[in-house]
Amino acid sequence: MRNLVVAFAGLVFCAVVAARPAAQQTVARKTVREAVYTEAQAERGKKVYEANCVTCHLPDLDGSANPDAGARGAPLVGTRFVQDFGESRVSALFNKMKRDMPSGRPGALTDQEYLDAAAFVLQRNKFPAGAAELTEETAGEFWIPGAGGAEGLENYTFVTTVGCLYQDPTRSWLLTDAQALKKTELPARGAAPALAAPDGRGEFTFRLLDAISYNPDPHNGHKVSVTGYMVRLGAEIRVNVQSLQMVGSSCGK
Amino acid sequence: MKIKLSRREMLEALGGGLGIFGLAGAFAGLSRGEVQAAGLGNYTGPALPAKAKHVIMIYLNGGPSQIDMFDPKPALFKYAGQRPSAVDLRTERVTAGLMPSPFEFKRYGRNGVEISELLPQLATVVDEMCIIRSMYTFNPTHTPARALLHTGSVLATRPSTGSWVTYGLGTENQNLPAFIALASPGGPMTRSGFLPSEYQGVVFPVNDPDPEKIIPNLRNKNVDANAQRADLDALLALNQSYTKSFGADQFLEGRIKSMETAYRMQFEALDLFDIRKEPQSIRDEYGPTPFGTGCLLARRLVEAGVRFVNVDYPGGQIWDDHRDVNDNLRKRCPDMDQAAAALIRDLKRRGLLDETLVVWGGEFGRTPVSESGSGRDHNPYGYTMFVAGGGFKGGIAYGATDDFGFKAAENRVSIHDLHATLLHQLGMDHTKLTYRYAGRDFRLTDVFGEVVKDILA
Repeated sequence: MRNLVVAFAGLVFCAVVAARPAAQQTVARKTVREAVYTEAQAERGKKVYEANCVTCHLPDLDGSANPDAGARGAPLVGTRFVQDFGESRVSALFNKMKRDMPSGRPGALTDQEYLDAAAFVLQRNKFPAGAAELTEETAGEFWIPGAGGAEGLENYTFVTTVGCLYQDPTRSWLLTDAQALKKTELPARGAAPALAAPDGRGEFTFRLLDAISYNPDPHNGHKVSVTGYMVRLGAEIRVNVQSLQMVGSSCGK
Repeated sequence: MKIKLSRREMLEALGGGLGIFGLAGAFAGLSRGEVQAAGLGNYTGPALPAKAKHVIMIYLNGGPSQIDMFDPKPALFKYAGQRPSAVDLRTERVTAGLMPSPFEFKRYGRNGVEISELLPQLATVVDEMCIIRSMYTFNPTHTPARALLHTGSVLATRPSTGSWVTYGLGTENQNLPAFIALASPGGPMTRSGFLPSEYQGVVFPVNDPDPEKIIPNLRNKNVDANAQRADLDALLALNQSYTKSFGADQFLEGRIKSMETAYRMQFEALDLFDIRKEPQSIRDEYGPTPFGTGCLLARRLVEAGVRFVNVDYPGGQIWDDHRDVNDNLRKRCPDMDQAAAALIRDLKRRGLLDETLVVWGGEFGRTPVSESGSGRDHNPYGYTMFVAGGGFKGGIAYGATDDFGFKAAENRVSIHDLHATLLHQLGMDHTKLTYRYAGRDFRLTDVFGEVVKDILA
């Protein structure tokens, strides 16, 4: 009987380990936060970008997310970049560029030019520069982090957080400088939701779904507490808003 | 007093069905107005005030997910993973609990219609779009549902909408087929069924913008036009002799008509199918993809007088997202969105949108409940299509599904209602556009269909 209990416990342990969310399993990965390119390389990449990419992806790399420019290239910064390349190796970005870009003449650049352009994209996404250049080898070793802020949480978990409410140029509502999402209890019918405490600035950005149902315009730029359902889209984390309450008239910037 | 003859009656009055084809060259010289005045259509019902002359049907084979594109349902989050009794509808395959859409919806246009982030380009032309969120159809399986969308019947023998429309109204350009299907696999999308075979849709691929590849071997490089004409006339004489001996044969007439059309196409079609003649800015607007080519060609064809153009999103039953619906839509929507929006914008700019009906949709939608953990099953109970131009109201979302987006709940619109409304806008009473076959009169809408007047301008 004791052996059975031990075996059962072992099975449970294995099942729990196997069921750990991918986000937890990636904690030990080497990421581009560890500085995988140099300033000089990013500067070369900028020239490559300006010569070959800027028409579609625009000078600020916001591409089709810029509502006024009519550009066709996918955004290479912000939440869309996280969606597309978060939780991928840098080699995924490099290979995508090499396979499909520049539009209409894929593969026209040298491998070094593609690496330099990738370094420029990493720089514009605020990943730090270091002493060593990005190479094909390091591109295969280092990961671009996902949005973060939701480690260990299952899809559709009811969560709460505090951050800065901001409407971007595409009219999407974002919660910037937000704290990591915390699981919270669903409020009882008619009761107020448990709001996160306004304790300092966080490091995450979450796109808010259905924020337009909560009259967000007067609170653009305010510090707000949000509760809602967490949802993953690729490597991006979003929150379907269920309550939105101002906790500060500025974000302290 | 104007005597309206059907096309068949006119052919007979001119000395027999086959005899008319020798006059093809004479028709080629007529203007659009003269051809219309010649009454080459077969519709003899009451003439309704026609708002539209042409139809472009954009078909997304497989059933695109309305919940992720046009029909926001935030209530799904509260019940994620659950299966409340309100949504306990039978699905074609095994499905699990409710699966919310992760995509953001924003309000666009003068009426603040909500559209998903997947469709930023269509969102810019929403004021031209009549989004019908309460469509329903009668079968959850692709083949019969596809037949329903395109022919009004689950049976695999009925004529397609394009065939009915061209049978009813005839053509505006004798040098081109009246009904063209781009990137289409054929079948119910192009079938003429029991209608004369000249009303069948003519299929062209769009994988390559080179017109010589879209219509291979069209131009006869070895025999000049006069010699070809002499060949066709000789063949016509033989066929007339056959007809005198054995009686009229509608299939033979259809074949002759096709050959005559192909002969005349030599002088117009290669230019028309060459989208490289468009300014680069226009080609960029549609995008350098096969679907972009299809939509741009559709505009050129309509501009040249083609009555009905079916544009398939290439790739077969590709919108059938039983798995990985989110990833698939993120990959597939951008070029569809770009080209469909460009088509509407371009038609509007050229003053053609008022006289052209653009219809967008699939054979059904997709369920709000998940399949395989990441996909959605077929949903015939409630889904979205949109119509732009042709006298439809723009900037509106009509009808509604239930709280979870499963079943059409308010202002329900059946596929027959949509067909009836399209024919109405083309100036035809759907109950009067008939064809006698096997002893009874058939209609596109069979015994169903109501014109949805609320969505007409």
